[in-house]
Amino acid sequence: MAPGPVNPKTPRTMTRVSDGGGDARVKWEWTQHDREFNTRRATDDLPVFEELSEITPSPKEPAHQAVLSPGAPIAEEFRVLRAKVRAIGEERPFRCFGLVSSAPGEGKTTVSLGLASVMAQEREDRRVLLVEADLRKRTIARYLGLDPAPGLGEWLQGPAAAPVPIRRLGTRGPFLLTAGLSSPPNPEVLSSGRLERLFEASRRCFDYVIVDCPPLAPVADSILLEDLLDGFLLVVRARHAPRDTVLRALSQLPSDRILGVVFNDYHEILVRAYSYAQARY
Amino acid sequence: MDDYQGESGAGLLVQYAEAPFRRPLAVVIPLVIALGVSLALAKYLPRRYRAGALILVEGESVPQDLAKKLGAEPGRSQLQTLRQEMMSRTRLESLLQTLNPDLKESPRLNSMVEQMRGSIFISSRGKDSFSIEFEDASPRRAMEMANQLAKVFIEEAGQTRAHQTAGTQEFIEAQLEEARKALEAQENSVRTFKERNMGRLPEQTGSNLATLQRLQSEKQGVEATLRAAQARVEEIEKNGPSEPGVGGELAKLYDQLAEMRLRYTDEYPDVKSIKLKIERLQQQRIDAGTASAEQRTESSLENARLQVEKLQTKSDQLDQKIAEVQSRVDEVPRLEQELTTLNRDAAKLKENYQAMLSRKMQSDLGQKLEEHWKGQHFQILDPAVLPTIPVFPNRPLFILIGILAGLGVGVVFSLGLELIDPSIKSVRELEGVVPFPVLATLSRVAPPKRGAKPARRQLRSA
Repeated sequence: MAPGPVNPKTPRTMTRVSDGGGDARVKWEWTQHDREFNTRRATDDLPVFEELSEITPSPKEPAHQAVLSPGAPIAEEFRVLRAKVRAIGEERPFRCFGLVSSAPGEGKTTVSLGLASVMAQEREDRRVLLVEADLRKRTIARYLGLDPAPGLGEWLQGPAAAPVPIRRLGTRGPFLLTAGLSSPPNPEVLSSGRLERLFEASRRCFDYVIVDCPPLAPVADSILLEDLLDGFLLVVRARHAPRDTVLRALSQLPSDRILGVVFNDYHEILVRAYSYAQARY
Repeated sequence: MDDYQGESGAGLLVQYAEAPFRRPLAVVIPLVIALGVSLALAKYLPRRYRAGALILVEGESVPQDLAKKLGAEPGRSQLQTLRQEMMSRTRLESLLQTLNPDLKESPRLNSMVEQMRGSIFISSRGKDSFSIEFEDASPRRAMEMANQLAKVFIEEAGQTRAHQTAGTQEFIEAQLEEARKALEAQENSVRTFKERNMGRLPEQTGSNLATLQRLQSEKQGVEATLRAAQARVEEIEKNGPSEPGVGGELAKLYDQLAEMRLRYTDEYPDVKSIKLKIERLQQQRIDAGTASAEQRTESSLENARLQVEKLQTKSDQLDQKIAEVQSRVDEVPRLEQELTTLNRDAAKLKENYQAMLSRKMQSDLGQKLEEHWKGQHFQILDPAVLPTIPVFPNRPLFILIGILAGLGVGVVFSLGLELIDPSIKSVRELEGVVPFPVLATLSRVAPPKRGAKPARRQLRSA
């Protein structure tokens, strides 16, 4: 059967090929329902995703607990962000985007987790992939209290035909592709063609792909991802990075690639105390 | 591109008000340091003790308003006077030498006097008492000095009052004598003025006017009589003989005389000459001894003319007197003003003299009052006792100052840090710095409350 036209906005449904026997590993690959692909072997070398066992996160930090909790107050703020992202997506392709910041510690990973969670919870059949592209830091597994496992770093250094190891957070959470066990010796593996094919495959298999990118300073890893993603969201943490640092970091990316800013960790003391007092009254 | 222009007024106020809460360490560290310093000072600064004696101002035997009138100084102002006396160098030197005779002629005496002056405190306690306190590093010395000062104070009070009263009386007597002399001099001036201007004084205006009126009436009478006499003369001349002779010559001379008198006085040489001729002719006729009708007519004419002359003379005299009295009346306003001024000055001096006289009488009575010791006097109500708690350093006060200073420095420090903080603090600032829309503002996550479900269970239930 000849491949049909590709509609990148239409999610592709993947069906299970096998149940994987006793190790509960499931392999996904293109099926006949996909009009573009028949089987992997029949088309190109886009990678397949291999879902490892479902994971239950046990974050220790209150912030990480809150962003994963649908009932937390901050979940509502993430829903607002979700709506803004979808609004951007109605005007231009914006299903595979990255979150960057000017400096480390701005809260990109936390915001990525929160955004991925609310996006996955919006619909039952929604599939969201969160990719930890910061191979130097590898924080998601630590934040969520997960056991270390192979991830993106190992896949980029492994055989080209190896499946991409992903894990799902709960039954309705996002899929997670962590950075892996160790940093690759050459960070420029991010600019390799394999990552391009990974994102290409991700677009076809997932509704949204959120990439937790490295900070723009002091390293330039995010710039390597510039052409692979639909755009970026800038995360700025309140009272953290100096204004000059933010401006210098922004100069490293073209302005049309950044589609919005998320102001993170904002808090008021007196106004909040007054509001609490008013609420009690 | 940084277009941020700064927060608005309310936003800025909130930002600065939150600064100490955002940077608690910037407040706590100075607070701890300041508190530590104040506690150290409170512990290690040399201590000072204060002991005081309470002195009662006993009530007077004489009512206070009378005592006040009589020059007895009320208690509070006397306190001020005695405080100054107590703090004087002379008094303090005397006191120090009494306590320590070795200090006489000592070079340290001056510095000790100054030190002592700073250690003495005199203050009111209610309406009828006050305290004398002394501060020293040794509690025993503070107590002894306070009691000694109280004793000296009471002794000084009596002497001061006596000296004050005597001095007041001497002064008043001198002032009284001066006032008396000034009054006498002024009264002499008034008397001399009146003597010099007798007849022209304002109180004599009435009599002067009456005299003037009388003279004017008299003159009017004389004038009328004169006109009648002149008419008679004309008549006699008209009906009398017209032949020449002595009688005719006399008539001519009389006519000339009357005409001259209209213009000139009798002192005029021509008038005198005519009169002399008339006399010679009259004598000549008398000598002739002829008693004719002509002679009778001439005699009547001569009499009439004599009458006219007399009346004219009288009229002139009256004019002179009238002018004199009129000048007296005209001078009255000027003299009245001068006399008023002299009298006013005399009245003031008299008033002053009366006041001084009254004051002297009061002063005499006040002195007698002091002599009989019926005014205010003092006694020690509570002598000074050994103090156990130092007045300096005041530990609670030091701690309070330390806290306030620490907080103050901390707040200022935190504000300073806030001012120099270059990070992005608000959405408004962020929008001014980055040229991208702010899609969402994520709040800081507060620590979970007790009893809240952990995220793991929540995800599983989603």
